[in-house]
Amino acid sequence: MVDTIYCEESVTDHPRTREIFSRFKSARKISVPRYGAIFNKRDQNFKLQKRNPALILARKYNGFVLPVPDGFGLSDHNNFYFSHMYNCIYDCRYCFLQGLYSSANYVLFVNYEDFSTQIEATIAAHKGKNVAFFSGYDCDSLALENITNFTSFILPLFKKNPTALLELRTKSIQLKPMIISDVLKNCVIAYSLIPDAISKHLDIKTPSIDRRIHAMKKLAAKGWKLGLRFDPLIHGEDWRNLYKGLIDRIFSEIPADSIHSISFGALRFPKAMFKKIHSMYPKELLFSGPLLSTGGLVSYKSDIENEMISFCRHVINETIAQPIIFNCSFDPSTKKEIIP
Amino acid sequence: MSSNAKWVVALKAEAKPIIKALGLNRIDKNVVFPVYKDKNARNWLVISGVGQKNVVAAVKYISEFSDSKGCSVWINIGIAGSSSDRYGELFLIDKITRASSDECFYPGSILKSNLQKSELLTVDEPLLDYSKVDLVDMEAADFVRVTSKISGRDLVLVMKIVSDGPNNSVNDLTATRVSHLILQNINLVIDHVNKLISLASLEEERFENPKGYTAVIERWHFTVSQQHELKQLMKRWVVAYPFTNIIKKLKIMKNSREVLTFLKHDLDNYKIDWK
Ligand code: SF4
Repeated sequence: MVDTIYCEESVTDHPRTREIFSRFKSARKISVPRYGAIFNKRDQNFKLQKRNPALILARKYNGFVLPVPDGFGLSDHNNFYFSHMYNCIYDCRYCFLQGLYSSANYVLFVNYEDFSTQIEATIAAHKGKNVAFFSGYDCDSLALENITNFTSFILPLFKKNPTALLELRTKSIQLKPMIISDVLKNCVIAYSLIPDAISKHLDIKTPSIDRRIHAMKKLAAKGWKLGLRFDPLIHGEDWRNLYKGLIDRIFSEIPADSIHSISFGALRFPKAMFKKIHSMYPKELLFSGPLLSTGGLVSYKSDIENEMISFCRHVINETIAQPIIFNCSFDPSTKKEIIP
Repeated sequence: MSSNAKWVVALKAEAKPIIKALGLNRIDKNVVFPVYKDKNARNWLVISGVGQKNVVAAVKYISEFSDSKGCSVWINIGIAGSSSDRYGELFLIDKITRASSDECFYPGSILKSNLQKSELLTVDEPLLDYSKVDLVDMEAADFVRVTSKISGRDLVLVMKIVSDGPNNSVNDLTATRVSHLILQNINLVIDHVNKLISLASLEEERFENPKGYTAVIERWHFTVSQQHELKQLMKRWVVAYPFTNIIKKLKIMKNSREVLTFLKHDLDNYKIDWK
């Protein structure tokens, strides 16, 4: 799968590096002084690299735990995120990472212990308060788990700290860490979902919606709590039927009491990011939709966003009996709640 | 605009087998940097002379001469000394260190390949004792530095063939032997370059004007900033309505502002059919 591994000199002898090297015996290994020398350079091509991404093994020195950006997180929690990895094996056409990074190579920070130290310090600093940690902001939380084993590493920390919430955001059906672990009531496996017909166009290289629902069913059967993330909401012909179909399909398979929370995310790009992504994929239908550029952001008109969110909330409320937590979804430009 | 390859080689003896294999013809009378190309302008070749300064100047020259755009693949191929006894073997270079500054350069690795890979040291003066380096040349570092700025490092290739080493003295190298070394590996080299040109062609759409764009700017007067806005809107519009003739749709518009308003309105009301 990976045929080139760049490795920071500082982690050449790290046990995780050695383990990964031993798994990719035939991969070409190239030493680099710092990962930025290969990852941050502007003169590279995200789209072409996506065809055969290299793996970059690196050490992270700071910024292990960061406050979430506006529009992300649970409204009654202190919200943080951490990224043990940059980039993703999937290739969703709306993914903001393709606009954020100049390289599609995967960066893996192998010093996991520094992440856990900082997570524990953050929990300690917020004693008595609700605190939530999100993984999957700069990558998919589980997609490369068979190589990284990061989730298997981090779950025991949350077992030890049951008051802290962990959300693993994913489209992956890689369930091994949760299958071998005891169920943690403070861990939410949050699946990003869009209607199947749209997913077939836009969720490139990801497990299908059916397979994601199947994976969710397995997790629910084991007792894990699930998050449903309708993120981003995608507009189009017949969108009501498409979203109703998706919601019906989910709740015909997944017991409502295994749902921890539901949230909706808007399709939004900073203007420069949209320009970059659109120039990479000028023939992508998604970018010909009713998108507006206002206040430095490219998004659907707010009445489209609001209508889609209201409709989905309504369908969910009609479908299931018990009350469900809907996470707020904020407009990052105004910091106001989008949900009407 | 279609993708192409720009070959930059230091010596005429290195160029000869490539010129022959690709059917290139001399196209100018520049005595400093002779330039060759094939009849489809898919392959261009410049002979730079030895050393990084020459390579930089030759890249600049052919770049201007051939009107290089972002989807050119750049290839530096040539002979190299090696501390190991690998005479005649071809290597794809994935890390280059400039000896004078210790600066490193990394040509792209987007193509899966069975070619042998190696690091390379680029020196300013011929190295007499290279027993401690894998491969050594005199051009690659600056070649990668300047061509990465034109095409991005993913479309830059450095390929070296071992010409001298512990059992093959540099003093025994003749022009005929150099040509022969390139010739021995020419099929592998061309095959690899062709694969990268195919990948580069994926980038062509990035540089294409949307269908009908030229006709529209010829018919109505657009300011420079309006032209930019028009191009972005038309790119989206032609994807939304691939079977509609845009000129027919626009023909009743009185001026550029009306054209832009029409396109915006159409896109604002466009509902994508995902099924
Ligand atoms: S799964 Fe998420 S991180 Fe991965 S490509 Fe898709 S949107 Fe991006």
